[in-house]
Amino acid sequence: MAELLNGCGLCQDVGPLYDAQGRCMSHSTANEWQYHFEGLKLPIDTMSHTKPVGAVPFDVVLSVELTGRYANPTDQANPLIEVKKFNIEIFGLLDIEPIEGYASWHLDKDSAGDQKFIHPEYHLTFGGHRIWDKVQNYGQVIVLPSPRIAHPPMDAILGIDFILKNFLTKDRHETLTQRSEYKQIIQHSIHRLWKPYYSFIGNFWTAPGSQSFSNFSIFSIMPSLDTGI
Amino acid sequence: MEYKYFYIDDWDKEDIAGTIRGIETGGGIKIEHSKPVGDWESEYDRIASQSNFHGIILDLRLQERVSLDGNHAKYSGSIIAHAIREMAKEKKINEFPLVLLSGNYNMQQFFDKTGEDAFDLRVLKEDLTDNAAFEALRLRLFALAKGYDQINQVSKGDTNKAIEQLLSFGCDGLEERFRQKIETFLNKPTHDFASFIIRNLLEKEGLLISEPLLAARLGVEINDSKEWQVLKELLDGTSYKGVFMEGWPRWWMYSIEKWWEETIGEDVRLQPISASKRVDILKEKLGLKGLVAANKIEKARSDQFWTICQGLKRPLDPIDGLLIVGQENAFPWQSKQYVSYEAAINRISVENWKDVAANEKDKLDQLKTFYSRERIRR
Repeated sequence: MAELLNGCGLCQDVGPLYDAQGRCMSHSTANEWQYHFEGLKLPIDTMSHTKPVGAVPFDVVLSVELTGRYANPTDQANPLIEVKKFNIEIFGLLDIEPIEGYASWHLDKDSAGDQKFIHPEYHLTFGGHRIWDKVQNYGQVIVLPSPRIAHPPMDAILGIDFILKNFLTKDRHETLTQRSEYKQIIQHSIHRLWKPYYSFIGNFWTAPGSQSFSNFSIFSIMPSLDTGI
Repeated sequence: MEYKYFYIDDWDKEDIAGTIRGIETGGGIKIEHSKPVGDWESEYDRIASQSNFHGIILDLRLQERVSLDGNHAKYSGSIIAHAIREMAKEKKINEFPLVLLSGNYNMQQFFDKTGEDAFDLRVLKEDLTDNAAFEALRLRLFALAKGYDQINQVSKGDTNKAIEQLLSFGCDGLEERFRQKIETFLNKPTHDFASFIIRNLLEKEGLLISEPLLAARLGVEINDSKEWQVLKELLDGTSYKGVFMEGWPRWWMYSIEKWWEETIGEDVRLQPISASKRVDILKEKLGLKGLVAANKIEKARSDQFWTICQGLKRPLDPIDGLLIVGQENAFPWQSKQYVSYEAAINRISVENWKDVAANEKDKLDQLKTFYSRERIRR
């Protein structure tokens, strides 16, 4: 992925991914993989409906710290053990006010536990603690802890794909995302992370009571399904 | 151990006595000066028959003053260097380090870049202005002579063992692409191996980091921190102990992260926290109250420093920087270099960074517009 991103000119400093690779080699165990990196800078195209009017976003920055299980073909387990950090930050400039603009999203993996609001195990949420380090004038950004959007688990590969497809125009990212090597890498991550996730959700209807999945609880990852009936 | 360098310069002995004394002070290096012979064939024979030195220092322009035979030489230091590398390849002589020591004007006017590879080190005479500069050069001359000996002598049968011996670092912790690349240089001439190490490991931040970057990544302001030397001593186990170590003080980034995890704990990662937090933790855990945190450059938002601004030579989070031009062919183990918004907008020390990368130009234009408007509104 690092070389593809670099080769297509979409990311000129893929150092954070190389760092993650090195750390993955030294921190992983026989059953678990682990990596972390900070500040992978990806580009962002200007898009309509950006508010405030005239805001110019120019960097999307991904920082990740994950622990996961190595896939076992016979046991479809919850693929990620811990999502310590999965931050997507957007840096830019505001036109109407002479100040820098900032926004951030993060992917969380939380236990459903005793939460006041609906709280899917994997969710993508706006905000994140870094927003308060970056924004001096709170009037710039309105942040609410809701909605907590359920989202399938992602690794760095799926995170990059998410960013490219959400923040770049089709024309711009397709030079990379239509390449067969790229698709293969994505497909591999989808198979490892999304197949067990979605199969489990699928089983809720197709094979209720199925015990073949471990470390998954349907109402934990999809609390909306818990209608009490 | 004392290493002897043969120094060919057309200047008279009394003109360069100060330079020689400056380099020799501190010990370990002995310099024997000679003017060029004058006649090329005789010069070639003289070098081919010399065996009592560990390296050669060459001036670039040897034509300006009278040579030993009373004429003006018609060859330059580059030509001698090229001939020496060829003689070594033909096994007529042993391999040894070559250093170019020239005036800036001559270097700009007459140095052909294609001849650059023959030299292990290029030094401008104008840069030798104080004791620190002489000391740095002395250490590099010492490191080169000692390092060439080490590379010549290491047994290359077991490649991993040879790499571990030369780098004084286990291959297990080595970045795989770097390990593969260095392996391809093991059986090449010593000069090629030495050049690879110097240009792609020691002189590029990445696997190894220099003292300013070490301080930046630990959040420490060197100049204001009384206990920086104490902290460096505590980090001795992470420093580079391989070939040429005397001339290029460096630290293994891999070992620094490991040290941080072992000393501070895995729960607090080094990179995602601010410089002041890093320094607070170091103060608390190590009892080094004299450490002072580095400050942000103007226009920077983050103090999670991880690089050095190439204009201001101060700590910077890459988030607040623009990539500089000419890094497309960097190896994966080398960190990219940045210039801060402040230095880029005001073209501070532009000779150090030349320009921002092509992809960053639009962003620089936006920043210039933005900050000029901000000034007006203030």
